[in-house]
Amino acid sequence: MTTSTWEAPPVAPTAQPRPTRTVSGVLPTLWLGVVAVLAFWWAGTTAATGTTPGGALMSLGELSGLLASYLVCAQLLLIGRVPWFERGIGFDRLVAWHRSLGTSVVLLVLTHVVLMIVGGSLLDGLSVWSEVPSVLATQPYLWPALIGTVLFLAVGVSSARLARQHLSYEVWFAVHLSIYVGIFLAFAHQVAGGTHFVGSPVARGLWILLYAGTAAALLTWRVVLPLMSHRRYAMRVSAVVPEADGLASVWVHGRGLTRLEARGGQFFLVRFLTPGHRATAHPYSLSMAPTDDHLRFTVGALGDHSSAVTDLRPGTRVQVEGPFGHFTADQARSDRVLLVAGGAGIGPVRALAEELLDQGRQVVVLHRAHDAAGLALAAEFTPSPSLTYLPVPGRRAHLGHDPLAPQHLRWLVPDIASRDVFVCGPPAMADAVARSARALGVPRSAIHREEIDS
Amino acid sequence: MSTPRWRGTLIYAGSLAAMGAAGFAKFAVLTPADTVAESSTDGMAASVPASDDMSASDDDAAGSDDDTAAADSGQAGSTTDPATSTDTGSTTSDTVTVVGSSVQTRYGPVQVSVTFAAGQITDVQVLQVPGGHHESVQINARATPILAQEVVDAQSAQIDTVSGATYTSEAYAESVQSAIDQQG
Repeated sequence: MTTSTWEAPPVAPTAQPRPTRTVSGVLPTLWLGVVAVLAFWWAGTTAATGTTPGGALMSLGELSGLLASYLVCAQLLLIGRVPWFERGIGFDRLVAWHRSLGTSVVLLVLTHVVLMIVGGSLLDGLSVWSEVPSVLATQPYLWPALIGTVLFLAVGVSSARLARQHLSYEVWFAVHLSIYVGIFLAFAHQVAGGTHFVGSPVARGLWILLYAGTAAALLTWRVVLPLMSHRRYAMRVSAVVPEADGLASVWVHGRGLTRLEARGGQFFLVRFLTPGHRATAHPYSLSMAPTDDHLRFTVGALGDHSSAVTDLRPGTRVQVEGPFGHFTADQARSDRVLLVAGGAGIGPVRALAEELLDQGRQVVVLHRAHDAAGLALAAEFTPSPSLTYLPVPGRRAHLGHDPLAPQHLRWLVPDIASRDVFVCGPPAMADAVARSARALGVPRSAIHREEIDS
Repeated sequence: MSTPRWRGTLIYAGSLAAMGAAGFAKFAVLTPADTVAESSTDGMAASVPASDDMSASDDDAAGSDDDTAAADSGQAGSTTDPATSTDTGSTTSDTVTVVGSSVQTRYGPVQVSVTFAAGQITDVQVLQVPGGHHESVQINARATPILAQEVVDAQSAQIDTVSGATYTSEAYAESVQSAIDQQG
């Protein structure tokens, strides 16, 4: 890139350590915790408990509850912005694991409830239906736990794939926040009524410590530190610039932004402090290398929130968390790089191209869009000996072919096999490019992808 | 940022398998006779002949708690009278120990003896508490001294339950009440 319309780009910090995501101890630690919970249950259970079917079922129900409770803490820590986790796994994979564990937790909670009721009814010689009011009347803090369970189910159902398609982000987020109440309500019945805790102050202390530690981590990295950086960087919207059909750039002004150490291709969780935006944070990628006083995000009209950025007024305060992501220039092994962008994916690709060119690499940018009017930021890719810009507008139905299919990709980029391939766009497009690149001989380790949900 | 489909369900299935394996390893190797429970009631056999019947009904998976408890209180009343007959009905200055009825809980029988001196409750001794569960032993070791003190303080069976030992507390109070009733 030879020309630039913004202030002098910062010197690319090429000496930064490579992110190491292969040797992460986070997930093994998580599974080790599961084993520890199993061992804890094993140590606190005598074989005599199983003399009756009811006793055995209740004991397994307790185990199910213990596992669910432990995994809830694990889930919270995974999305707790804990730096160790972010470095080891990466934000996107953390979110994916958080979602997977969410399914497991809701199912384990249900299993816990069913086993406790059925097992208890066998022990008491009551029907299943009369067992429920009986334990609610006698067991400590079971009413709050019941309400907590309902909240768990609500959060689980609202996060299911089918429901997410019909719920707005704001509604989903509001339901999701209620899980903190659910967890709080469900906690007391564990330590006050759980047979593994009431008799053992040590076990109870450890369990309380697990929850207190989780709460402290969340408070530190999701509340206190973001608030402190909010004060330090004092970010505000300075301009909103329409770029193309359905795409707009949000310029954010702040102080000392190079201290964020953000790289091209990374994203922030951005929250605009104005009515209609305040409640939600969205993952926005940088669309240029950050300067000391400006960040730029190029945002697609994806979902009801992103499309409203055009209404943002200059001066609106901005809160960010991040940067996140491993879609960065230092992932490239080769000096020759192909960047493939689709839709809003052009933002991170634009920032990535800037940094790769600064590092002296040879870059080809392949830009997909539904039509020519959707080719945002195209003017910023000034052709030069080290930069080739290939706009490929048009829907597949109109073109009569998929320009990202292997034979067309080879025609567009003949030397693709010797390049690192970065692809950023909707999941289906990222899949198509990854498949074609593999078919054309690009090693798996040279394919880097970032998905932008649409 | 796509999440692999069914991974959460697979983790759940794995958890169920682990739970099943742990439950099998823990419970499938046990002998039919609950040796822990037997030994705890064996000590009682001499003074309370009815304990054999009770442990038998206990092994029947507590099929009918109300019936068992009612029958037990009847038996306890009759069978323990001989043991305490020399004391019951003697003058109020004497120290009298009355055995309460055995009360079934979901975890096993609870039975206490109450010591009266000059009409006042001075002590409560536990004759039976559920011993089949490891956790029950711990809970009851913690709860029973508290319950005894509560009875002595209240001079009645109107006592608060100890949290985490609800079943034991209620059965304890019932057994104490039956002893007080016998004492008149």
